[in-house]
Amino acid sequence: MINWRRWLVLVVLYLAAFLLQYGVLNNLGWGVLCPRLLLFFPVYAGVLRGALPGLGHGLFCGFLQDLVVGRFLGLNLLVWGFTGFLCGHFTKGLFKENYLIAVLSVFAVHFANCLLYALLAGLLSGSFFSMTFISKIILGGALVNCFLAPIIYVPVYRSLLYGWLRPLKKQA
Amino acid sequence: MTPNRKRLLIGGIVVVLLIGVFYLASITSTERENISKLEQILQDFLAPMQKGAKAIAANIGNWGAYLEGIDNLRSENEELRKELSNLRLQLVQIEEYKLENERLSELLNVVDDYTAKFDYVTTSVINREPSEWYKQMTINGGSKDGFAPGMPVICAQGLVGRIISTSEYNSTVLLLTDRSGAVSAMVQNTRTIGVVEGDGETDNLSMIHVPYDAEIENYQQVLTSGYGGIYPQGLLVGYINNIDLQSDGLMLNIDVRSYVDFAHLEEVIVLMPKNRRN
Repeated sequence: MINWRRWLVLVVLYLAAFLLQYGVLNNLGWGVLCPRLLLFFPVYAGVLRGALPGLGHGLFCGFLQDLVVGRFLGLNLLVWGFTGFLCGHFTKGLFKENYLIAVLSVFAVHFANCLLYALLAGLLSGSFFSMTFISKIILGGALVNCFLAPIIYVPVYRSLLYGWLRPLKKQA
Repeated sequence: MTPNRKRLLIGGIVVVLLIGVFYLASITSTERENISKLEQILQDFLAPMQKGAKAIAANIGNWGAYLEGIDNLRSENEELRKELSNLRLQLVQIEEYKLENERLSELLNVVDDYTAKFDYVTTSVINREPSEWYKQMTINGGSKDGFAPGMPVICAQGLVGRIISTSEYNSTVLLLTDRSGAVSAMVQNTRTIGVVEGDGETDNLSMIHVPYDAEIENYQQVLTSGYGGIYPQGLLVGYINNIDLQSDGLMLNIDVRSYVDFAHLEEVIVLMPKNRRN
């Protein structure tokens, strides 16, 4: 049975994050200090639900970015899918009630995303970004996203356990 | 199916998908004549929100500037007055050159193909920094307004870049400062040809492929050369800020500065070929 309420909430959350990110925040001129709201979907799906949901959300978020700002169609899809999967894989046995897990996961995924994207984009275009530039993007994004991580994590975690985002239990 | 075979099958599918995505990514780099319908719809859908956000950001910026104090404005005003007096002197000289040029052109029967070939379409910038990785921006107006990939984009201070993709109502402009935004250029006084390219990370430009014995000096103007077929000849790119000899001693490292403030662009002009519009 499909949990329609959960899907509806997810669609609304995606739409809100997407519009806020690319309609508003990206246009305020904050540069590397602009929050990456879509990053929280694959990270929290990976941390709280496992590697495959992390992969799924990562692929979808990456695809959305490719459509709006991607220079190489499919590259964000690949990078975000991969890092979402890794996030779920490496946080499998961890205690999820610790907010530090959320902050560290967001930092690690953001870091891996940026490095991987820079590397693959460099390979595809034939010219690589400088480490200074990559560090600037990593540090700027890490600062903002790690600050937001626990603020977003709490309601998501509660909703996944007791609220509208709770998946249906499989019948025995 | 045995677990080993299943694993092999999944591995095979993943490898094929990876190759497919890499192939797609490599064929969709930088300039695409047509972007997909889905991309067009999303970009057009976001445009009104981006315009609103830009207006809000501009208001916040105005308040910030006001609060920063009048002292900055005073010193800036002083600087601008000095610059203005210098420019007035230059203007007189340029006027002289212009008249001389007109006389010579009449003699040679040369038509000013600049204004004859292009329509100047002024439009506004919707989004100055859609991606942190690349130097590009979104402008108002797309394929419905006659914009197409390859059209040069300028502003009053000089060359800005070129359109790389269009949706119905918006266009993406690749800035001159991007790593893929290189342009064939020449030094105005000496007609020395080179390539001006950005580093993609700052707004600095450099002119490359200029031999060590080129007779160029600081503060000379750099214009587009017209070679390459994208930009017409004579668009202002910037001025020479510094000249160094490369370590091999064969070529020059030329630091070029653009007059354009890429971070605060509000309006730009798209050069639209006349035959295309008609």
